[in-house]
Amino acid sequence: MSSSFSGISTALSGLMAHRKAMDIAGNNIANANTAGYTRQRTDLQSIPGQSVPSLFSTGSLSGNGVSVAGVTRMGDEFLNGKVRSQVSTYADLSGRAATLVDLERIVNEPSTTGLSSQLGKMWDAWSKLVTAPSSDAARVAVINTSQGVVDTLANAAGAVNSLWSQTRAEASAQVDEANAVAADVADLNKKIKSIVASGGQANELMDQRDQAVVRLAELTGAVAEPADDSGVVDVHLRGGALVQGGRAQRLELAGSSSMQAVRAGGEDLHLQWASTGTDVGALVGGSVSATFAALNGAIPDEAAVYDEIARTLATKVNAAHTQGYLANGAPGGSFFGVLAGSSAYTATSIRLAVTETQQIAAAGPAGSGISNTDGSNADKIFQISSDDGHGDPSAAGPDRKWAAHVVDIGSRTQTASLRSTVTQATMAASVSDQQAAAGVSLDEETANLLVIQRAYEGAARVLTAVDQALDTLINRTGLVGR
Amino acid sequence: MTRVTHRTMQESTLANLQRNLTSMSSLQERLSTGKNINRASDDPTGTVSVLQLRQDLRAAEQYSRNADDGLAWLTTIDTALQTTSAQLRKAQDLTLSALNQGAQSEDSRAAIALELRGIKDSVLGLANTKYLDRSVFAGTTGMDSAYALNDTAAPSGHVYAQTSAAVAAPDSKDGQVLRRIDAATQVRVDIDGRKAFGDDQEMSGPDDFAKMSVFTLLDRVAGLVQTSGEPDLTSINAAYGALKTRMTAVGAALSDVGTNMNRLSSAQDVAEDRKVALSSALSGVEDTDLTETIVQMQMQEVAYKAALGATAKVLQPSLMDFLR
Repeated sequence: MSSSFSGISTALSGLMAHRKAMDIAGNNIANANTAGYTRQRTDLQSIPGQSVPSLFSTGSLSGNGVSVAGVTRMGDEFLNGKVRSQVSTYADLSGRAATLVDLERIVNEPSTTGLSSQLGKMWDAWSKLVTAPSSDAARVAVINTSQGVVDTLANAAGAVNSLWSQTRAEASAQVDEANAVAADVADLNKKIKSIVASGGQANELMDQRDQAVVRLAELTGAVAEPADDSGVVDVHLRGGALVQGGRAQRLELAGSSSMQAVRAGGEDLHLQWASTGTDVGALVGGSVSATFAALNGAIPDEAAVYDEIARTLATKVNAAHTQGYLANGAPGGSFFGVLAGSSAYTATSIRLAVTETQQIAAAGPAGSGISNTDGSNADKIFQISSDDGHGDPSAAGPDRKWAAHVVDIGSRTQTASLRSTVTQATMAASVSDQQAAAGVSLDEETANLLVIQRAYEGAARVLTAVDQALDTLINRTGLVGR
Repeated sequence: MTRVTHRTMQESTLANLQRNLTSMSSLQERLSTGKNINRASDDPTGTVSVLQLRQDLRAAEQYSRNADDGLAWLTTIDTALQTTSAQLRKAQDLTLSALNQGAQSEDSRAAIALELRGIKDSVLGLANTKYLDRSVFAGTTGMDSAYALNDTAAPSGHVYAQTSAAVAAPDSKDGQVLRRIDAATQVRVDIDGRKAFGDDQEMSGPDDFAKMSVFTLLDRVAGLVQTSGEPDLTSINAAYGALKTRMTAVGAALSDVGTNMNRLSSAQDVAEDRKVALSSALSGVEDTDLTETIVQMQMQEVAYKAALGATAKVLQPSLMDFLR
């Protein structure tokens, strides 16, 4: 036989449980647009009646109402892992594509201001010099258009160099951010652990921590896995522990500090553990990986192309120019030279050796008598414009080499952009899967709210009913015939 | 079944709108620039075609300009040689009439000699004809004139401006004025003055008619004709023969000029045709097909509007609208 008042406590448990459920639904609705928020569900549990057989146990009893067993985060750890891996792949590929897009912008082809049209203008000037070798105007045009080519090469090389420096600064910022985020993850891990240990709910902190872990994966391609049942997550990077429980290990950016150093065979940019100074290893995914690929490969390679164009141009033109003769019959010197202090022709060191119009060796034959108005050597130099190296691309003239490079960077950019777009779609799909599991649906919450509200009203009704029953019992009983 | 929430719907809608807008902007770029290829990655192989076609087009323009310039040279030379030929014919006639001894008095011979000297001056002027301030018969020298009278130092007489370098190697193109009409061909657009007018470089004496320039020859004939006593008919006859040879040489030079003019004008036609062909090929590769792009643009716009309409409908309703 149960107590007369047990009905009240049953109704009260219903009121309290549904208040709690209402709070949770309200929290879900409030966070409907919060990034990284995982919807929560109130787990209700009925309180069983006395069921252990004993001396005074009395037959079958009803339950004792309801209690809140817990609040569940509706996220799916596997979907979260999928999102992390996709996000880091996308960060890597989109970073690589972005570098190529930048380089392609520097290439600036096809356009009327790019290197190919500057070269074209220079060859035009040489060709015009063939028809008018005695014209000072034609000679001035050769010098000016050649200076245009030299300037274009220098500008492009400068732009590539500053792109390297920017990217280097970006790498350093990324590593700093990764360290800060890793420290955050460790800190949150610590808090979560202590809250969970004391039996509390750390769902919101877990949301924050998971967001930070995603950011860490996006930056470095790190992988995460739950450490134990206490809600703590460990983050590993290439086998090393970036975050272990409440402790984060610092990363350091190491390697050459200038593009010249990288190109001279210096140490590649890489990550190392700050505590031990050991190499982290090649990163898989993450934007730092893309940044390193740019710093160690794509950008220095691009600079090498400009240097190669400058070298080809200078050696080919000089070879022809030194075989020609000036208008006064004297042999021609070098047409292109290098900046004082440099030894090789590079995009930045190449200069015009010829400054006076009369230093241009337009004439083919030696001798003062017939070289004054001869333009056959200028014609020979003009022929460099269509020099295809006789089938050997490495021996081709600057124009062919440049065209080959343009198609190369064009197709690499196209492929990289395509890959990045495809990964973006895959990433969007997995984010959407994750959102589908963890996102708040307002309709659902409203429906839940409705049900909870009705249940609350019902519980209140039960309370009233019990109250009335007791009123009858206490106040009306024994008054018959009075 | 995938759970759908307002948030996922909003995100996918935004992503779709973004995709639509991206397509619109790429079409817009093509329309506003008029180019299909705005950066190398738009069409890498097309880009290389563009670069190659532009280079070929520049070369074709240059070849066409070269042919124009060459034709101007050859026309100048042609005129000069035609006139020279007419003048020499007249000199021949005069010499012939001087040979006709009975009909000539000393005075009339003096008149013939005067006329011959006049012809010599005019031929010398023609031999020094210039085009754009360059003597067309002087090859690649920078001299003011192809022939100058050298009466101070040996060798005396009318000395050709060009040194003997070109003579040394018969196959050598040294000293020739050449114009490139395609990647492999150059056409000569001048005439070596010595070929038409001869020079006095190897003249052994006043009667070495065969190795004498036409100017010296005409002077010499005038000298032979204008004499107070009996004219030296044998010498005049020999000089007459030399004049005839010179006429033939001028004729040969004229036919050279004609041949080269033909080559140049056909090269010019080829270059012009090639320019048109290359321009249209270039336009085919890099220019936007306006009709097609505008139609695509319209379709894209319809799609975008539909997406916007759907977004407005999809994000509006909520269960809350139906609960009191």
